[in-house]
Amino acid sequence: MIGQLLIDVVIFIWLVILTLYSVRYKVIYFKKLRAGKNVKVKRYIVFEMIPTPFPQAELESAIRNAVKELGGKAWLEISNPKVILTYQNYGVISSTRAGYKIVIASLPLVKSINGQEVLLVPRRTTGSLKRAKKLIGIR
Amino acid sequence: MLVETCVKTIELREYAKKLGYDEVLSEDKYDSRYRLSLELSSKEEITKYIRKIKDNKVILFVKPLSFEAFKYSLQSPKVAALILDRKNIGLIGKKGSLNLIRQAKKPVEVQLKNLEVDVIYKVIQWNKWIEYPILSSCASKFNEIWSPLSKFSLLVTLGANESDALKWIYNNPTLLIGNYDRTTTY
Repeated sequence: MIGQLLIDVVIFIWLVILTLYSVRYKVIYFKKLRAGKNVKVKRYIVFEMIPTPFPQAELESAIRNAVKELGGKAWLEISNPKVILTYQNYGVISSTRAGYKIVIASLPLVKSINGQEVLLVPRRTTGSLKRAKKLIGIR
Repeated sequence: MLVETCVKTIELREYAKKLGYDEVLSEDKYDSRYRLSLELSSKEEITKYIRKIKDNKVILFVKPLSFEAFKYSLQSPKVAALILDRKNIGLIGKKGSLNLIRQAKKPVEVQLKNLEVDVIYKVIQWNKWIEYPILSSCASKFNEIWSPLSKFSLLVTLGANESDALKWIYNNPTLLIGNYDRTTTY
């Protein structure tokens, strides 16, 4: 019984020494796990509203419905389109790099908002919001 | 030059230009050059319509509903392109028919008005046989016109090669109009 306890204590002390040694002299490298390089990269789609502008919230729900109609729930969650801002007749949608093409493809499916006919025309796609703002004339 | 190959009225030209198109082919008879879309099921009907057309400004698009009409519209130089949709995809989708399209080198039009994704997907898969596919809006209102960028994105999303998609949207409609001009002038 006492012998067993002694062996346990010796093994414990030996493990502590080994751990301290490995941490101090960096025998084991603890590499931080980082997300992929482009996981967070977004795409900003600049679009034009013809003939009249609409509020941001209504536009967003119409665009999300159109994406769902074309690509289903899976593509809606992949692309996750959000209308970030509207300025005069222009607007900016943020989307992911994987799914921005389906957002562009589904813009013609938005035919009316609140019973008023509308045509959404994709103009440019950029990688930065600053550039998107510059394109629509916000300084 | 970007060409929208189908709008219903000439008034939509203004909106199409805003979307980035240079030229529009409308179904309006008052336009300098207009398209005529026919849905026919026999050879006799096609010949009857061709005989009726006397002015050179008509571009004839035929949606064949029988094999006989399909074969005749491929052979006839007056028929500019074939229209493909769910109604006749079973007819055209056979290997023999696809080989005929490849031999005749006729453009095949898919209309986006009802957005039949399965038809577009099949046309992408038949890239080997259908050399000149065309996507057209066939819009009767301004909010039904598809912008070239949306057409391109739709094709790429459905699995088309980017260079092919660009060719279908940019080159093929121009080619259609060019071919038509050559056959009527000379």
